[in-house]
Amino acid sequence: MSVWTLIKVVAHKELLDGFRDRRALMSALTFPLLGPLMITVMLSVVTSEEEIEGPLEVPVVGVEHAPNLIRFLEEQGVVLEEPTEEMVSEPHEVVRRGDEAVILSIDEDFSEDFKSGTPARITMVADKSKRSTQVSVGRLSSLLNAYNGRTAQLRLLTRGVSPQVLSPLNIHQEDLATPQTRASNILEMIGMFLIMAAFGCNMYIAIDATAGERERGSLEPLLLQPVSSGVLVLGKWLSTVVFGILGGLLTLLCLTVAMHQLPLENLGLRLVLGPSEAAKMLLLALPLIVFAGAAQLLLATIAKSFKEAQTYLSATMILPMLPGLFASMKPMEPSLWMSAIPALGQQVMTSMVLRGDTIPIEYWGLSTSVCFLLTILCLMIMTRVLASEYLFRKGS
Amino acid sequence: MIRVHEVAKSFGDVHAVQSVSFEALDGQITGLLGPNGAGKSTTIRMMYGLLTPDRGTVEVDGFDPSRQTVEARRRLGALPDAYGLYPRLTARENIAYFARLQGMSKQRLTQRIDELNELLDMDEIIERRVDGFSQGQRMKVSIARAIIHDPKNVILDEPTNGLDVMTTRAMRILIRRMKDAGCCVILSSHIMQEVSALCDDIVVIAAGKVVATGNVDDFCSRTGETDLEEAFVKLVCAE
Repeated sequence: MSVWTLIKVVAHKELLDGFRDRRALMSALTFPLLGPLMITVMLSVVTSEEEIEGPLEVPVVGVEHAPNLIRFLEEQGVVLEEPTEEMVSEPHEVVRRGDEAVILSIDEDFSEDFKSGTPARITMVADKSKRSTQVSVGRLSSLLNAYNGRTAQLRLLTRGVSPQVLSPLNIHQEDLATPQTRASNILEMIGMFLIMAAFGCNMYIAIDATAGERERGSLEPLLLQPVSSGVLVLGKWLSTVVFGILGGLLTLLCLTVAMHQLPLENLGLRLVLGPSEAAKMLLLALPLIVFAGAAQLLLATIAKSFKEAQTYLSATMILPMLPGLFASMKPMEPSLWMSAIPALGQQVMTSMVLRGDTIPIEYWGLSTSVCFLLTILCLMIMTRVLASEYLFRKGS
Repeated sequence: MIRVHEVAKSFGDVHAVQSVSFEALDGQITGLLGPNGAGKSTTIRMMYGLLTPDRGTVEVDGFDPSRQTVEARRRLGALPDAYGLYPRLTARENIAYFARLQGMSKQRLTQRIDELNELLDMDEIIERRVDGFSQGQRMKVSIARAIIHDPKNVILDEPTNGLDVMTTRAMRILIRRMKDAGCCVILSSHIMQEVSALCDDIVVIAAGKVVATGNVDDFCSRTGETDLEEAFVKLVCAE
């Protein structure tokens, strides 16, 4: 029988075994389903926060002291609420509990101070550490600033001074963020989930094919067969690659479906995730899947037991997630060296795809060759380990 | 035929095997007898080619298992003391996997599995998944898997360990049949009755050395005992 036939025999057995293993299937399904689910939940939380763009409702204490300000606010569409007893006596407590985003309180002396030209005091009680209230607080303070500016201008005009004196700068903001770049935080997460799938989906089958064989006592009989250990290694590795690819496909499928279900337009986000992007991303993930399988097999071969292998591999699961987590918090400028690091490179490139950029060929080339080289290295070491006496020293 | 010539193997400071030599002839059952830790398993692993001897040589039909591994293993059927099966595969799939790795065609292996199925009386279990098999059922599948390629040389490491009476008997019948078919059978055991009942030639190993070779009668006359167990104790303790 040719070497290739033997490799296929091994891969076929591992896949048959893997597909019958409920634990392997569960772990292979967890990551493809977990990612889209998390993104969906996060995005719907964001959407519900943005829906505060409705009328701004603010309880005001001491309405009677500033009729002009109140009229201005009402003209701007603010719905003024009658304050409760507690809001008058303990406004801080109400805001801290989160019952109200902000309470506006007008000083008793407001009207008098206003008339005499002394700065009249109004108080906004808000908790700025609460993200959900930031929109309301921001809107109210910009309205108050507008009223402040308008009054100042009127006062200057009555004194015969041009209001332009007060505006030495004309600040004009140009926002270059397109809806697509604004979505980039979410993009980084999509890349991260794809990378997690590459490492997570084949983890169990990798452990079962190595540390599992040893623990069941089936490794020794297997190694007594007249095939070189390279054949066994390649067969086992192929089966992890199949699981990895299936996991990646499933992840992308779930993500694509999830993204199309979400009201992204309401958020001003536009995500390019169609079949052709998904195909490109899978192609980008492939070298990583190939490497992940080899690396996990090697680690699990060296581990002394199934449990130990599980511990090692779960720990290493965190490594490929780091660039994604980091990138989603603090987007980084892609540069060539990043593509030389497995997982980080894929993170950078999948973001490029989703952002609608073309991937520079040197990025792709470098990342792919590094992954393939490391794969070969891992498989070679593993072949050496299986062929050596390492596993059969006294006491093992 | 398996020939072991003055092999030695150490693991660090532990001299597991110091000097072991013997010949296991075709058409004979050769017993490896020795207390725990005597170096039986290490010797057997050198015959498999899993361990390379520090000194000395091993030959399986003239092939060195640690250098001409593939050639040697084609001629070798092995039942190691760890004979784990794949619990999610059926008995047939377990056996067929190794048959394929031995290079057998699908047609040939189906034929051969049918033969062994009859020989070992596995009709009830052959299509069932191995998970939940009894010790005896697992042993049957393991032995079938070990000799699926009809090897000329068979090494069995404590093959009746943990088996019930019926399965032990079936196993003995199988071992005798292999001998009658002209196979070279090596049987490692520490059960005296089994060795004395089956083996034509016995190699007693203690502390990494061969302390005696011969058959039961030789041992008894040499030590002046009538019982192999007593003879064994004398031989081992003389060291």
